[in-house]
Amino acid sequence: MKYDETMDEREIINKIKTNQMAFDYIYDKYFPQIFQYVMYRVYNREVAEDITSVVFFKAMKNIKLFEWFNKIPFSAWLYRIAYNEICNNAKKDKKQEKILKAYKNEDADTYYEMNTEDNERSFEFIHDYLKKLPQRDQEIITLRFFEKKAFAEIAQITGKNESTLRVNLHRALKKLESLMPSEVLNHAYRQISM
Amino acid sequence: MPIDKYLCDFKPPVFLPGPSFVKIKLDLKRAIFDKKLLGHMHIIYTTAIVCLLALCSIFILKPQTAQNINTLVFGQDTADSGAILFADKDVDLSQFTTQFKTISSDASQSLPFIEDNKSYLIQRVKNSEEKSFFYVREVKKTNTISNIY
Repeated sequence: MKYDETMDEREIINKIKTNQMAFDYIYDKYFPQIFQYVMYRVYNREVAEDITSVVFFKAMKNIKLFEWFNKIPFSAWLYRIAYNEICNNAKKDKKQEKILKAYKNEDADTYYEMNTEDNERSFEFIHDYLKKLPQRDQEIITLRFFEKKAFAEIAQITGKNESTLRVNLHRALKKLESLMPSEVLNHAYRQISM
Repeated sequence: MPIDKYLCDFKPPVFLPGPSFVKIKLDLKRAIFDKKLLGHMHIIYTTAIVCLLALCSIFILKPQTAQNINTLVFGQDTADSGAILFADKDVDLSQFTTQFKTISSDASQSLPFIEDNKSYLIQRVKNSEEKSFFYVREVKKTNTISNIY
């Protein structure tokens, strides 16, 4: 039996543990979406692939914990798992950072710089500042400005109410602004306006 | 230049999953569905082992059951069935006493009725006067006790 958009997603998700076709449908639909979100957060393809596969594995393993009656869409539940995995990964990275710092390969960075697209280079620029913020602030900015999600959707993902999110976003942007010198920001803006 | 204006106008790059998309899918399917099958196999193996152990325990505690099953399957008693009975210390020998040939311990040196190429079971018992007696029984493949001396 082939699953498509016309079918009730709840029914498909109920069959996901026993039916491989149901799993295929869910995976094909949500993997690119979650992968993109993780990429915005970690900006490393290998790490993003690892995290996304862990997200799906955990989601499938704990599918019984997913509750429809809370009216959270399945995608929002996946985003929550992804957020937790990104935080776990960041903790591991902090430990490894000190070791890697000593062996940082400058040539590899130059090669990457030369082979990236313009908008990707702009993203790299903003990501460098973004990763200095706390995980919660990074999440709100990513969901709001890169994923272009409405506050209602972000509220479903984070489990916070919309007014709290607006305040949090405002504070997060203030923090980010304080990290970026105004001339750098103006230069970056001119680059994306071209 | 406010940062939110910059972020609103910013067009983020589209990151699509690479060829690993298919590989991860296969790995996940293997991990989810094969593991489930493996889980079922565990249950099957465990049940089989428990049944086997239960059967062995029954056969050890009640050898007669094993003998009955053997008779049921092969249709006849085996030559060793008599030995199983005699091996049990608590077996009631009264059913054999009338048909057993009783020999006094003094006669044990010469047993003229013992024939060549035949199998016998010998049971040594003592009476209330502490006198030894031997019960001799020929072991035949058929389950009869007609040839008991």
